[in-house]
Amino acid sequence: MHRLARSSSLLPIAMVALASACTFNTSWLDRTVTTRAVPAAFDVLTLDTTPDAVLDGASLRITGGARTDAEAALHVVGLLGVRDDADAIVRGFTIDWTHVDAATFGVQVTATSSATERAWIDEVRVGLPSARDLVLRTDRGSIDVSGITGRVEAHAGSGSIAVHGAGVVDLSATSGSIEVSGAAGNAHATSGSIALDLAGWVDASADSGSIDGRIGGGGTLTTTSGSIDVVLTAPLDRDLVLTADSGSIRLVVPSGASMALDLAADSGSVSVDAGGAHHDGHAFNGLVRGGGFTVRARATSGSIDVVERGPS
Amino acid sequence: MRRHTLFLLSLAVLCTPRTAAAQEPPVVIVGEPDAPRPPILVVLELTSPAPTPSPSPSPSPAPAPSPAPEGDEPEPAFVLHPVSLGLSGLVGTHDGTNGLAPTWTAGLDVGFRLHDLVALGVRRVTAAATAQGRDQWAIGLSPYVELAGRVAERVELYGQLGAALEVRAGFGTGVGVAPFTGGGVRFFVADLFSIAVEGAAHVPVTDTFLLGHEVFPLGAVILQGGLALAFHLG
Repeated sequence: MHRLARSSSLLPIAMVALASACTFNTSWLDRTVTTRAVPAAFDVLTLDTTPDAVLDGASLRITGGARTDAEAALHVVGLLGVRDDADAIVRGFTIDWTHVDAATFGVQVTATSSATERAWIDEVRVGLPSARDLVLRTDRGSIDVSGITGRVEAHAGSGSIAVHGAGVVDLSATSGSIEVSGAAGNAHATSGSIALDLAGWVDASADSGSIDGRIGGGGTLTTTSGSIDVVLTAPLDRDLVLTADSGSIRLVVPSGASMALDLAADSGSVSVDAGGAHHDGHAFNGLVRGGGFTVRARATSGSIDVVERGPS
Repeated sequence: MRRHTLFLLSLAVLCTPRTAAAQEPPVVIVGEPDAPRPPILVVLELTSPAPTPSPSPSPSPAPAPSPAPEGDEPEPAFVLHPVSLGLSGLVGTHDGTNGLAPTWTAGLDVGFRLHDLVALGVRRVTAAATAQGRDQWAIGLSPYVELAGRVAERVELYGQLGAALEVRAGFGTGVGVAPFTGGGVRFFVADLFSIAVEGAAHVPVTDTFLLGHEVFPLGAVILQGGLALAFHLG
C-alpha cells in the first residue's frame, strides 16, 4: 500500500509536467515583406494563390482607402531552429507587382529560401484605392476585403470570405462561410452559412448552411439543409424566391410594402401576418396591399413565416 | 457470606461505567436465599435481547471450522499479458503568432512484452497533415524499447527510448527522424486494459520533422504529455 500511495503521488507530478509541456530550441518567425508602393494605374487587381505552391494556404487581406497608390506585403511566419538565419529566410521571400493587361494588376511572389517547409506565407496584404475591382481566388486561405467600393469577385476553397462595404459581389466558398455587406450580388456556399447585408438584389444559396441577414431587393435564396431568416429592408424591385428543403423560412417585410404572396409548406405550417392579412395553414396565396412583385416561398419540411415589420 | 458476595457484585455492576445503550435499569436476578445455587448468577440486560441460556453449565465445545465460502477464495495474482494494442495521444505547446500554439501527436500503439521488465514495439503509427496551409502530409511510426517495473500489483512505471520515423509528401518531400524518450505511469484498471499518463520528448535530427500538424526544425526539443489507452492480450 505504501508503494501504491507513493506511485499515486507521481500523478500530480505528471500533470504538472503535462501542463508545462512546451518546445525548446525554436523561435517563432513573424515578419512582413513589403513591395514598393506604385501608382494605382489599374482598374482591376487580381490575386490567385491556387497555382502557386508557395502561396498555397495564404489568406488574402485587401484594404481600400482614400489613396492613389497601391502597396502589397507578405506576412511570413514559421518555426525556426537554432541554426536558422531568420533574416536570410525572410530575404528569400519577395513580392512585386505584375501587369496582367493594360487595366489589370497582379502580384508576383517568389520564395527562394531553403526553409520554406518551416517558414511560410501566412497572408498577402494589399492596400489600394477604394474604387477598384477585385478578382480573388484561394484554395485553402480565407479572403477578407474591406473598403473596396468596386466589384468584388472572390472564390475560396476551404477558407471563409468576408467582404464589407463593396459594390456588386460574386462570392463562392466550398467549405467556408460567407459574410458580405455591399450593394448587391451573388453568394454561394457549399458547406458554410451565409450572412447578408445587401442594399439591393441577391442570389444566394447554401447547401448545408443557413442564410440570414438583410436584403434590399428581390432575387433567390436557396438552402438545402439550412434555414432562411431574412429581413427585406426596401420594397421589392423584382420577384423574391425562397426555397428551403429541410429548414424553415422566415421573412420580415417592410412596413407598408405591397406584394403578392405565394407560400406553400409540405409538412410545416404557413403563417402570414402582413398588410392586414392573417393566415395560419399549410399554404397561402394572396395579395398584400393590392399586390406587386411576388414573394414565392417553398419549404419541404420546415415552416414558413411572413411578418410585417412594425413602423419605425 | 453468600449475600455479602452478591451485594458486592451488584454494587460493582451498578458502579461500572455504562454505555449509552445501557440506559434501562439493569435487572438483577438473585437466587433464593435458602436454595443451593451456584455462587454467582448475575444477568445484566442491555438493549439487545438476552442470550438464550445454555442448557448445560459446561462450556460449549469450540465450533468446528466451517469450510470457507467459494466467494472468499483468494483472487489469482494479476499477470501481465505479452501483447498490447492501443491508442495514445500527446499534446504540448510551442511559440506562435499569438503567444503559444498547440502541438499534438497521436496514433496506434503495438507492443510486445519480452519480459516483465522489457517490451518492444511501435508507437504512434499515424498519418498527419500540416496545418500550415500547404498541401503537405506524412506517415510515420516510432519503434521503441521499454523498461518497466511494477510499483504495485496494478501500477507500473515505465520508460521508453525510440525514434519517430516519417516520410513526408506534398509540399516538401523527404524523410524525417526524431529520437524520443518518454515515460509514464500505467494503471491496469482491468486485467486486459490499462490507462497510462505519460510524457515524451522528441528531438528532430533531420532538417525538418512534421509532428502532428506542425513542421519542427532540426534540434528542437518537443516536450509533450498525454494519455495512452491499451488492451493487453495473449
